[in-house]
Amino acid sequence: MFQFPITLTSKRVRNGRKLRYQYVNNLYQKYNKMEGITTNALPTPENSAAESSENEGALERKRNRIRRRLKSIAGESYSDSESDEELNDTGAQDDEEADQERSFFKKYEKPQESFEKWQTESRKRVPIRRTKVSFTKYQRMCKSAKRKMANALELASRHNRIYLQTVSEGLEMVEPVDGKPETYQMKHISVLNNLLHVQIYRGNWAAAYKCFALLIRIPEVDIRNVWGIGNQVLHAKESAKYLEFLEWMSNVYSSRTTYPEDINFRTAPVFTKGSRTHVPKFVTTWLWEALIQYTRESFEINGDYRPENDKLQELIDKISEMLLAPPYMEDSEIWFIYSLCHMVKADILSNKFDSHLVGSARDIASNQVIQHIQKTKSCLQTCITKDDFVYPKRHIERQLETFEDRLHIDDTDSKSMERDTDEMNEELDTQSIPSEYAYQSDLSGRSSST
Amino acid sequence: MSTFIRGPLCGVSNCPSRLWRIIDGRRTCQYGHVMEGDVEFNNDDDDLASAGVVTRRLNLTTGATGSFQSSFNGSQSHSQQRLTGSKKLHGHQAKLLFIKSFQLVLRAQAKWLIREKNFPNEFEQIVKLIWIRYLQWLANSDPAHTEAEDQENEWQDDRLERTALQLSMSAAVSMLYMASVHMGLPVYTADFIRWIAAAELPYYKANSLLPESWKQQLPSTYLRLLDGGKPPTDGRILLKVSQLCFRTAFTRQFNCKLQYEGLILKLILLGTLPPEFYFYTVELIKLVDETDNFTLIEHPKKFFTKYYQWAELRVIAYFLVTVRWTLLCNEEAYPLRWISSLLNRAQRLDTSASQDNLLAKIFSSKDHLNVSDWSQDETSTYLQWFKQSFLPLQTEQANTTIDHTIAQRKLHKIFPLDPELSRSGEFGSSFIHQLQERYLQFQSDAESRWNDDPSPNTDDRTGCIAQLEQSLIIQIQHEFALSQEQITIALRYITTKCSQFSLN
Repeated sequence: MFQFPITLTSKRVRNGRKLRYQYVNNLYQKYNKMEGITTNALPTPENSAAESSENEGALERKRNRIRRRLKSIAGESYSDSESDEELNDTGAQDDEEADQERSFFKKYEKPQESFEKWQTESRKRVPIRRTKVSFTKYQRMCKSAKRKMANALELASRHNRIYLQTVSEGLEMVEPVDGKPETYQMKHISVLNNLLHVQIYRGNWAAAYKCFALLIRIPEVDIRNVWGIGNQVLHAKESAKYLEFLEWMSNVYSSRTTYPEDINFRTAPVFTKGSRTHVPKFVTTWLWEALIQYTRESFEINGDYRPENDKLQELIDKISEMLLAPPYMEDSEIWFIYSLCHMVKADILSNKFDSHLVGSARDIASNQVIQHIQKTKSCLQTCITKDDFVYPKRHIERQLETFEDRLHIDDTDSKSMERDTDEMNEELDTQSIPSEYAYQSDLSGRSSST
Repeated sequence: MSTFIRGPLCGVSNCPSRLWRIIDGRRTCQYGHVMEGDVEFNNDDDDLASAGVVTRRLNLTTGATGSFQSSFNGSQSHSQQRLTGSKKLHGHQAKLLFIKSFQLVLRAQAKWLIREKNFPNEFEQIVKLIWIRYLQWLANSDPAHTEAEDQENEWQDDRLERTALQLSMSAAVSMLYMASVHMGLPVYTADFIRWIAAAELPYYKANSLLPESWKQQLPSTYLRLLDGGKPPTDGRILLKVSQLCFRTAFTRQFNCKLQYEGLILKLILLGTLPPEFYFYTVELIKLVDETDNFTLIEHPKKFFTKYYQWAELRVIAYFLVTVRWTLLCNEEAYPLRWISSLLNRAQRLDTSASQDNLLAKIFSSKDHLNVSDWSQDETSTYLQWFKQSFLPLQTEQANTTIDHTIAQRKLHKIFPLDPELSRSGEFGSSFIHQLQERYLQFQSDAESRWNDDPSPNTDDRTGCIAQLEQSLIIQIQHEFALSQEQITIALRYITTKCSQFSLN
């Protein structure tokens, strides 16, 4: 009924996938060979090592030619040059058989933000490659690709053989992806999972909490599939703990840990894992939640500000650590959160700024604010250069200006300042802010009014 | 010797060196780290030196506690896997170990029945006898007649290897069932199913009973057999029983008569029927059938459709026929109101089921179970059971690292199991108490309807009886883990048999 929190893996599916990727790679290779396309890979240590032995490669080729010559002289039946090469190829192929999937995905970027990637911007569109392949050529490619994997096919199960046949002809094999729960274990997990969803739907948080606590204690259940639900349950039941939970998620499942996604096609990868270029969603959720929570707290304890108990500063340190140490999280969103942290900090400090201070104390205090403002600007700059994140730029700039102004205003002018902010808020409404960031502007609006 | 070659960054424990030299044929960096996999052969025939260059970078990842850890490189983890893999036994030895493990599980089950369910102490001996008979069959069966001319000695050794053992957890339960039939205990498949479904009898994850060293040595296919896996629905236990009876020659050497009186009583209580139905059913059976027909049968094959030959199913069919005929004929004693209130009770049972009913329903469900109509009591009962009985079965996977366990413990601390859900109504009351409650409820319900205005309509009456029968069949299907098809086939056969008898 509801999505299963378990990644169903089976050897059959894995082997089927291996065969498919092997076939696709073979086709690709053959096509490249026929079209005379040479893939120029990036210079790696292996490449540079191979470069030095290029002469040996030439030598090898020469030796092969001589051998072939000898063979033909000896009267051995000799069809054409290709088959001999192919025999050599298959030998090399067996070694790297395990990496078929990886070698396939090396050529493509995996869409991490969604299941598919659509380019809507006209300047980024890439023209479709219009090179055509004739039917006979295509058949030759298919034939040779199949011939190359004759061994693998022989060893594969009947089901997988049929599967490859179907897929290679452009058809699709229909089978239940998310199979019915059959074993005792699966039946009970399914019941518990269904109960969890039903209880959440009814808003019965105590029962939902209990379901979730039981569910995560089953070893097969991967928490990365259900962390969103867990977060929601904690929000409703024990709101003190949700930050702890999210922190745990981001500590344990840092972006490099692998996530098995064998059959669970229905889980978008964006929610379950991160990658080199992409920060997992639970990390961003954690950062946003932490920022909002800490900001609220620091405005609540407005009266007595203690620097030793500054959670916001801790968050800033944490983000900077995440940005600077491996696994580097270089998403623009992270940079934006980082800049917002500094902005809130600048807001707090500028509010605290005592205009009666004189001398070096005043300089230190104002320098702190200026420093944070500068930091905010530089972070936003990095965010802009990444060019995939939209935020209300003008609004933030104005905010920063007001913070800076507070340093120069004597307290006699405080009333005029308030008027300024009011005007600004009215102005702000005319500016279009993407709705998903509405709560950010809400947040900064709140900070300006205090 | 001191000529350095500029190459890739070394990277071993953050070594910054880019300079390499060759010492004893191995590429070594400025600070003495040896490049892995890089071996230079002085072999003119092959060009292995150029082909064998494999460079390696240290990949830094973070561990569960947030600290850095270097990822294992491929070769190291491979060698570790090979070490653990080599412990598994194969072929003949593996089979022997599996038989030993099966015996252990069987013994644990028999001991559990004696300890928890007050079975007589001799029960274990009977199970052992049956098991010995099975082992004898394994040793004596002819796996292939064509190879009979082969050398006798070799053949003896191979015999165990060639025959399929055909042992599974359902075979174990079948042996227990056969033993209880032999001793004439009033225990039927429904009881075994109930104990299995509630995870009381060691059935699921029975492989956790094995000693650790056996678990490591036993091949995973055998481990999975002892895992339980799919629940034995669709009368699989009865089928297995007839198969085992054939192999152990049970009918010739043991008492194989089923004591059907207890079963009838169970069925009556299941349907909350008045006690006279018990006598009717017994009378009908005595009138129509011979007692020889209520024995365990022998059947060698897996394919079987004469379901009415199974003694238990035969009794169930007789019971259903009795109910149907009695209600159809005796209009004065059982008016329509009475039947409809009985039917009402049966339907209400679905909404407020006890733990056993709930688990039996999950046990025999074929698809995702719809839980949206579960009441709060049911939910809390189920969760309580889940925590007490199901979770202890969940053993940690063997290959978890210390990082994993620490992280798991932290997570469990965030989500503690402590809070109990409030429950209305008392649970854990005795069976007799529940039974009384059920009959009282039914009685009061029937009496309250007594004053409703009577609408005598024969069509309504037969329809109502058919509905009642259907709901009884569904209940029996859940409790006895039979399929609906099996019950209807047996019922049809017994009906024709009875009507033929009445015509004569």
